[in-house]
Amino acid sequence: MNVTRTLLRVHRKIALWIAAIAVVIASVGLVLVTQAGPMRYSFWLVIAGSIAKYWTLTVGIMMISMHFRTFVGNGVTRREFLVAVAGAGLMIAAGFAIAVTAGHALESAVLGLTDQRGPGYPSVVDGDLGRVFPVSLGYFTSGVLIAAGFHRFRPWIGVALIIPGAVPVAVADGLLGFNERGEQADRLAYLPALAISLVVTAAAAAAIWALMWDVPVRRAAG
Amino acid sequence: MIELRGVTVRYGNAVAVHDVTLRLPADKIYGLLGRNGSGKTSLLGALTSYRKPAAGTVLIDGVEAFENPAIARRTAFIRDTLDLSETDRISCAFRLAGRLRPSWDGAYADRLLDLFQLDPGKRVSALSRGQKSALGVVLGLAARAPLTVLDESYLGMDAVARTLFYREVLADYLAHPRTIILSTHLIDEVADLFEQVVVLDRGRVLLHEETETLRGRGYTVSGPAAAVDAFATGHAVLGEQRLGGVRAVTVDGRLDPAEVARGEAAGLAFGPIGLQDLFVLLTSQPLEASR
Repeated sequence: MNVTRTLLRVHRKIALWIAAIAVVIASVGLVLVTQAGPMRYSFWLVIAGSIAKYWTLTVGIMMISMHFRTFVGNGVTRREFLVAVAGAGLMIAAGFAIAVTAGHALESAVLGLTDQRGPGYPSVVDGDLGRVFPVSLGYFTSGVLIAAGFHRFRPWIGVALIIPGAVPVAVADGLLGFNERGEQADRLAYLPALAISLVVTAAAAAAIWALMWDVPVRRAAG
Repeated sequence: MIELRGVTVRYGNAVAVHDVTLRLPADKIYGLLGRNGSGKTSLLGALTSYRKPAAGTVLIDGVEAFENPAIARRTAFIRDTLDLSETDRISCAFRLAGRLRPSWDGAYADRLLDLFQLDPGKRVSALSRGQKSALGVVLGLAARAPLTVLDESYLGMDAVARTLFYREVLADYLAHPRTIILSTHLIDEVADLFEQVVVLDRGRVLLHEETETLRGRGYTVSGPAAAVDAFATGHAVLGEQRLGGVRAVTVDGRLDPAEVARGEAAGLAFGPIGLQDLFVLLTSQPLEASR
C-alpha cells in the first residue's frame, strides 16, 4: 500500500482534464492573440501559472476536507496520511514547476519559429522552475493548513485561522511570484527569498502536524 | 484480545465515557447496547482510534492501538454517517478500499452489492438512507478486518435489508471468524447474533455478560398482589405493573427452582424476560440502583 500514490491517483483524472483544457486554451489563445501582433507576454504563464497556484490550493483543501476521513476509514493512520500528503504536495509542486517551465519553453520556441516573439516576452531563463515550485508548494500547504483549522476547530475559529493559514501563500507569492510578463517583485535576491519561503512553508507543515496528529475523525454531515 | 483500561472520553467539560475498563476476547460477536447519549459511539471511536481518549489506553493484542499502523490496517469502523465523499461513486469507494486495505475482498463486496441491490455506478449522494446503511455494511464486511465495528449500521434499512444483514454477518463470521462489535437499538432483532453483551449507561459499563447468562438474569412474577408482594420482598425489583388485584414484577436475578415451586403453590406465575425488556429496565433505573 502506497498512500502517496493512492492520493495522487485520486486526483489523476481531474488533473489530466485540467492539463488538457490548459493546453487547448493556451494554444487557441496564442493563435488568437498573435493575430494582433508579436506576443509581449506569455499566454502559457497566464493559464498554467494560475492553475499552479489555485488548483494546488484547492487540492490542499481537499486533502483534509475530503480525503482525511476516507483514508483513515480505510485503515491509514493520521501519521501515514500526513506524510503521504506531504509527499503528494512535493510531487504536485514539482510537476507544476516542470509543466510550467516546459510549456513556457515550448511556447517561446513556437513564437520564435513563427517570428511572433515580441519585445518584453519573458525569457525561460528568468527562472520558472525555481520559482513555480516553492510558490505552488506554498499554495498547497496553505490549503492543507486552512482545511486543518476547520477540521480541528469550530467553523468560526476556522475562519479566523484562514489569515495565519494564508501566510505561506503570502510569503511564497510575495517573494518569488512572477507574472505573465516575467515581472518579479524582486524584494529579495532569489536565494534568501527561496530560503524564507521554504522555512515558512515548513513551519506551516509543522503546524498542520500539530493540528492533525491526534485530531478526532469528524463525521460527515447527514 | 481488546482491552480498554480506564478509558475516558470528553467533549469539553462533558464526559461521554467515564473510566471504562473492558476486556473483550477476540473472535466473538459483541452487542454494544445503550440509550441515546450513553456513550456508545464515543467508546467505539476510542476503541478504533478515531478519537484519542482523554485518559486511559486501548490495547489490542497487548499493543497500544492509537496510531498503530498494524492495528489500523486490521480495524474497520463503519459509522452511521459513512466516511466517504458524497460525490464518489460506489465503485470508486471500492477501488480505494481495495488499494488501501490488504484484506479487502472485492468479489465478496460485489456479491454483497447484488444482495442489497446497490448499483456500483451510483454516487453516494444519490443513495437513500437505507442504501447508505447497506453500503456501510458492505464496506465493513468486505474489509474482512479482524476487528470490525458497525455502529448502528441498520439505520434506515427496511426489514428485509436488516434480515439480510443479520444473516450475512453471521454467515461471514462463521466463514471468517473475527471480532465483530455491533451497536444497536434493535436489541431483540439482533440479540441472537451476540455472544456477549456490553450495556453502557451514562458513559459507564452497566454490565458485560455472556448473552446466555444475561437471558437468564431476569424473570417476571405475576399473580395476586399480596403473594407477589411477599415474593418480591428481598429481591431486586426492576419494574412492576398493577391491574386491580393482580401485580406483575420484573426481578433482577436467577430463579431458584425451590422458590418457583413455593411461588407456584401460592398462585404465582413465572416467565422469562427478553433481552430488550431487561435492557430497558436496567437502563431506566437510577445509575447506582441498577449496578
